[in-house]
Amino acid sequence: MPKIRLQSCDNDIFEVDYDVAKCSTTIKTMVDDLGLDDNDDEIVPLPNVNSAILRKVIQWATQHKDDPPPPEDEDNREKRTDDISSWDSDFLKVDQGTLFELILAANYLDIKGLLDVTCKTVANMIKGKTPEEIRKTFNIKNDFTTEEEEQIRRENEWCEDK
Amino acid sequence: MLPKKYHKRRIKYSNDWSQLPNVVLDHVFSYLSWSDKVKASSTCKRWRTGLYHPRYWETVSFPLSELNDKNKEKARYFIQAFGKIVKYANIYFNSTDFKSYSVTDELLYALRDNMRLKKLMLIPTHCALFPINGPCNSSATLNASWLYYHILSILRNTDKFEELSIGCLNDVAMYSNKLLKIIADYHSKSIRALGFATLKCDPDEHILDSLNYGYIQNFTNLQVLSVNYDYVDDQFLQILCNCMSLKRIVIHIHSNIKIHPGTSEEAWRQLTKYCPKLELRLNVIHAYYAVLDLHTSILKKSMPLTHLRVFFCEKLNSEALNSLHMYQNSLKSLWWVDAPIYSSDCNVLLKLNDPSNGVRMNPFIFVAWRCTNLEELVLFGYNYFADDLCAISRLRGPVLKQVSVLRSEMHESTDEWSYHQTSSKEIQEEMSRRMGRPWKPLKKCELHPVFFSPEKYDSAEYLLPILCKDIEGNANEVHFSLYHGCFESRNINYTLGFEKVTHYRAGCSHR
Repeated sequence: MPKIRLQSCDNDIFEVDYDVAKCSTTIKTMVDDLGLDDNDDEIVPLPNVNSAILRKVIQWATQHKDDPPPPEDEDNREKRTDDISSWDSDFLKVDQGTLFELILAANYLDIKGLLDVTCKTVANMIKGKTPEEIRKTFNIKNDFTTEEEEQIRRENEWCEDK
Repeated sequence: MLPKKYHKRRIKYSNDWSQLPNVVLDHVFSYLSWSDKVKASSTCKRWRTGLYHPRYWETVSFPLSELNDKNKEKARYFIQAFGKIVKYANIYFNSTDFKSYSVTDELLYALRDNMRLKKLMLIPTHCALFPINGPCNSSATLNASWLYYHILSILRNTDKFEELSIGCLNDVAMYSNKLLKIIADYHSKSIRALGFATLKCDPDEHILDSLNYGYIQNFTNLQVLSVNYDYVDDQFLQILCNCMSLKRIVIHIHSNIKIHPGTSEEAWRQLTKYCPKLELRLNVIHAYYAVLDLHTSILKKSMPLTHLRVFFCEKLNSEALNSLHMYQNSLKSLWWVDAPIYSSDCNVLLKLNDPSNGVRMNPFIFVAWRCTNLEELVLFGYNYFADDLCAISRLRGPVLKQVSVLRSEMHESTDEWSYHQTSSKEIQEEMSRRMGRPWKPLKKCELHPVFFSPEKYDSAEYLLPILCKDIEGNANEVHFSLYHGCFESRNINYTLGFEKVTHYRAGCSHR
């Protein structure tokens, strides 16, 4: 099986099966573009992903390498978030910093399945909470002025029954 | 080594959730219900942007009809926030209020620059364009030309426009030919729904001499069309044979049709051959004479009639009702609506069993018996026996989805052979059981006040929301009880302003 070498931003090198690495559309495009094959000792640098996160991503991709491609998103429909597999849910029992970095990595590497499941996890953390509780959960700073908050409150009322 | 382009510097991310990239934020939001989205978007400025993704605002109803200080701010917010991103715009405005006009003007102005716009539906409060508190030089003609000018600019600036409705405004209908030409020039392949039928303030109001319906034959994607009966003749029906996508024609019949050439069986047969899925809705409005001619000259056996709605004609035409068995497979909805005090016929349904009259059946039972697909019955302004209503529900059972009647118009049977007097509660239970859904008659206060004080209110307030919806994607999904509802509940409906995207769009014929 062809292998590919990935280099994290902190200069660790990971050798992975191409089948696993191609979960990432970014890597797949890069490899297709450059025509790398297994005789090359080229290294694919991933300057936006650190070793810890890259290790997690590879672990996820290895588990999911045979998955069918995730379905295309339908517009406007509220999508399910209760369909996270138990493997994924265990995999995502991580601290918030790691979850944040995993989302960015999934986005950067363009791994739709991983982006879906991480975003679902975040959505589940938001659901049913008040804005204040959401701010607490994610340590978000409230940057609205008092007047802006009042305006937001009115806008929300107007938008309520969409 | 790899080419330089792959050696980007690492972007420094702080673990700051408010800084999620747009596309990720949008992705997270796509998993949230509307109320959770609203809450999440209230946390910080960055997340606020997530609420305004154009995808969530494809269909927006702009509430511009009642502009007190609070609503004015809301109207402005709607215009600013959604005027440039909305795709399907419904505009509720008050055609007798100058303030509403000026805000509508702002919106139409914003819509001119909105390249995404595919639909413009006007829903005025009245059929006249007379703002009572406007400048002294304002007139209906002037206001209509102003509306026309805006619609024209929108049609010129947008691409692949799909739906246009002039809100039954007679004064704007004067520009129908010009609008048809612009649509033919710019949008002939994309136009899907056209609402040109009107509601006349005065039944004898002048009409456009002729409609240049030749343009219509190029509208290959036209699915819904509404026009006044004045323009419907065999030639018109023949032109429509070119619009193979046509699924619904809505025809408004106003008064005097004496000079109308009528239509022929053959023309309808041809049309339904070319458009086999065609449905016809007839709205007979304030047509005191035409209502008498319904069965003799208007209704044709080959019409694919699905909806017959008679509004304020002050006459119950039993013979026309008895002829509806011609549409036994197609008829789904029958409305016969009058203000009780104006219909001289109000007791006609009670007298049917009068021996001096010969025993005859209530014509509505006859319709329910023969028309097996009847889903909806609306009857206001006539007294009848509650047992007749039960008979109708027994005949149609769960096929019948909506029966709107007034409690005060249901009467106990006085028939001497009838052993028990049906109580209102029993009727309610039987109807609910037969229809397989909770049912109850409306109270007077639940009906629009025009029914009881016609001199104080304008019937257009009741009619326009019903008529304007006729060209909507799937009007059957609309909750009908909202329409009959009293002022208060209708206003709530208006001030909510939004229509659920899924409500109107899901399962819509054009998707």
